[in-house]
Amino acid sequence: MNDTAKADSFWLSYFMAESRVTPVLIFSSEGVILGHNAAATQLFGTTLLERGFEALFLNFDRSANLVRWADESHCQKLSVATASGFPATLNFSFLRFEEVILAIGEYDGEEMRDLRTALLTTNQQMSNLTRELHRKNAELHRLGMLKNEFLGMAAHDLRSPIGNIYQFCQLLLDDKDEISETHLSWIETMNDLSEFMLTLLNDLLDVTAIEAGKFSLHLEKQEVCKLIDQAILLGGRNPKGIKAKIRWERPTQPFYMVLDAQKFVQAACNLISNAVKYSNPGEIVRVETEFHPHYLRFMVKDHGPGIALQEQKRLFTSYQTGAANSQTGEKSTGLGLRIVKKLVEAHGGTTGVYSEPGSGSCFWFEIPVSQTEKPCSTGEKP
Amino acid sequence: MNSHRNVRIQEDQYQAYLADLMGGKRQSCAKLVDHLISEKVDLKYLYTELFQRSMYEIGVLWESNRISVATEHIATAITETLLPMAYPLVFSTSRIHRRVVVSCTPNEYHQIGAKMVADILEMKGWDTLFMGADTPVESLLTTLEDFKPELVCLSLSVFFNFNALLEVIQMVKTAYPKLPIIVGGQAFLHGGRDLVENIPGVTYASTLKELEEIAG
Repeated sequence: MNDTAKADSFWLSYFMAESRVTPVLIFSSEGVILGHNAAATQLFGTTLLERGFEALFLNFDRSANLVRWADESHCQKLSVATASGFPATLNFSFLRFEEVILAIGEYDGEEMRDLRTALLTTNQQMSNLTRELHRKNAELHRLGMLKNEFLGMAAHDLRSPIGNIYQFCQLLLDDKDEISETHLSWIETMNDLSEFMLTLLNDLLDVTAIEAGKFSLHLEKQEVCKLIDQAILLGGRNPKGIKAKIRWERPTQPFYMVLDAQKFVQAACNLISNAVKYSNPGEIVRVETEFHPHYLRFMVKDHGPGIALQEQKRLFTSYQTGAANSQTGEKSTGLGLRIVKKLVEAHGGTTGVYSEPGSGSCFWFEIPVSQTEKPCSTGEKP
Repeated sequence: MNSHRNVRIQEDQYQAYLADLMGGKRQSCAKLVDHLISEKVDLKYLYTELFQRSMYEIGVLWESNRISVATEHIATAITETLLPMAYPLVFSTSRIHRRVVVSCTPNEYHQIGAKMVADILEMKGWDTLFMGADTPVESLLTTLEDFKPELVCLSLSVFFNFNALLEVIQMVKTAYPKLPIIVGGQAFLHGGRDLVENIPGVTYASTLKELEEIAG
């Protein structure tokens, strides 16, 4: 062996044994792998010996020709299926060395640099977009608070004059004998509208206070059945003052929970009055309660027109009402269920509805028993 | 902004975080950050005592060849995903209607320090524009023309990019002689402070706190 051949042999041995970066494969003239180094094993992640050239390289257009490339000392960009499952592209140099063909792979350094720059640029753009998104979110939050403040002020300032109009309508209706039939009907309309506006303003005040985070819970240990009695009393009359038929199998034992009594009654009352509103006169509205060790479930079931599935998803958002009209003709502010949701969520609970068109609805909420206060149903107030 | 300022990071929490950061365990790191934010940790404390401290330590480990550049990149990438967890608070402060551009020099690929500078100033109510890693000086000058800031902050992490920093300062000063520049970054641990402080209108800030004081 002459000196050049010895040097070649040395470098071949070096690549074969030492290189962990440069994959080297030795093929026979027939394209069968006779040997390889550790970098090749790492790249392909499979048994290589005696495998064929075409089994390793992605040769989509069938243009690969190992022998020709070796004879021309050709350098070819080739993609391979790697151990990780991702294809990788390397520049392979094919060299004929005595009776065998060497394939030496190199990662394209320039391409790697370009890739790194592209990744950095993308990362930078993402980063700036994220910052911009958060800045806009903060601005939206600020504007939302401003809107709530404005709505709250407007609702507060309008409540007094509209309350006066309502009171004057009531006074006029007390003397209905002295009013012509036409004027009486106008005053009744004014009365109904001003009453609706008062309800709307009260709901707006509630929603703006809730959404601005300006309400706090006054948590105390309460007897829940008494609160439900109050909610049925308040919510169980339709707008014409007619008492609705509400059925509730009241538990014989009292049930104590830590909650805000006023807000609990408001939430329960809203569900009951909604059910009454959408029930035909004489139809029974059922209130059901389940007292579990870790939560209370409160349900109100009606035989009203029911609600389609796509509408149910929107019900608990602001200014959304169902497609059905109330049986009393009363308008809805579209805020009641939103208020219920927020009040229940403030107690750590959840709200929901089961309904089908034509089969009535069941609105419910669940409120967890406080972690520190276990429920007590022994009849003795703790 | 967050009002409780007595939440502290325990040493064992920090060490576990550092280990997770180098181990590529983003979820574990995020869990601690989430916990601290929910406990209303002071954001500047979070930035300096967790993000900055850990990245400084990782930088030292890399410089002393105890961790690879890959590990350093993983830790940086994770930290960059953790910063936005504080953004709902960072960007909710009242605006003071002052503008600043924060940028890295050309060839400087370590942008996390610059990003923290931008966030700290954002917390103080500045409107920040973050230019990020490897910003060509032409892009910086165009941005200065468009954004019209009253301050520029330049970050340098790797000392061998120092000449690039001096070139950027020179070009910004030529185009905007009265525009104040604050420089800072880990590169200055190896020197160069006197070189920049001799340039009129250029101030060196060695810490985020010092940066806040200089920016005013």
